[in-house]
Amino acid sequence: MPKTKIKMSFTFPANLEFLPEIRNLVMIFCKKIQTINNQWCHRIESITDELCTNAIEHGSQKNKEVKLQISYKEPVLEIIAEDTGTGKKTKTKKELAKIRGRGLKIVKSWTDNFHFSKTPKGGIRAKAKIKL
Amino acid sequence: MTEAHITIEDLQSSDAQKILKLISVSGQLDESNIDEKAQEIYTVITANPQNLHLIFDLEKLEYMNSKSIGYLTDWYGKITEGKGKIVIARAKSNISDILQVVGLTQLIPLYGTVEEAKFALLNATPAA
Repeated sequence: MPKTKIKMSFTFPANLEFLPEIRNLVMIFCKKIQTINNQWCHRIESITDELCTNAIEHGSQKNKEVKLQISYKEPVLEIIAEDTGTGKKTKTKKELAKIRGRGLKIVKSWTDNFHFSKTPKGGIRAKAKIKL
Repeated sequence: MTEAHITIEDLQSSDAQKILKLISVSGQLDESNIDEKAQEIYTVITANPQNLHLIFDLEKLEYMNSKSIGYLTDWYGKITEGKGKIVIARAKSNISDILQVVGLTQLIPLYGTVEEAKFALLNATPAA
């Protein structure tokens, strides 16, 4: 496969009901990339699910938008999940790290670089990079 | 809501002291359904506070998130407190992968078949 960047990005309502479809889309995306084996397809599925769950649960009012972007340029895959900062339970980056401990432990274990940052609109952007 | 089903079956135990149950989980467990589904297991634990031995058959479980792992950890704590045990059988590779990365396989052993899991439960030495 040529070394061009492949990207999938979309927005979805901040609603947990969308999680299975998002995981499905992520798996389809990963399986199209021959250099990502089955184990890593599932790990990327988990990472994305955890980040989207965070954005929905803590970052956005129900049915406000959450943005998800997954891109791959060999050998680096990048996942970005961004909330609107409108959630009732809006947390700081530090508080988020504490609450979602187990989920973030999984993300950190399976990524080479992971961090939260604030968006200009007051939301949180979670960005994860994996060198495959 | 994400689809998941839990079935609970009593198993015959050669050890009269041990209450043995097979818990088969199918589908996917995520943030949208785990809180509700977890209550089915808590009901079993509450009804059997002592000597409860559970085999989780995860052959048909396609996905589990971090919260479901949190619940599994809590069940382990409650059951071992009551001198019982939990084991897992037939987990798919992605499930065993996530259980390993959080360290849960150091507490809850994984087996390839339900028979192996049952043998391990019935022949394990009781917790101190």
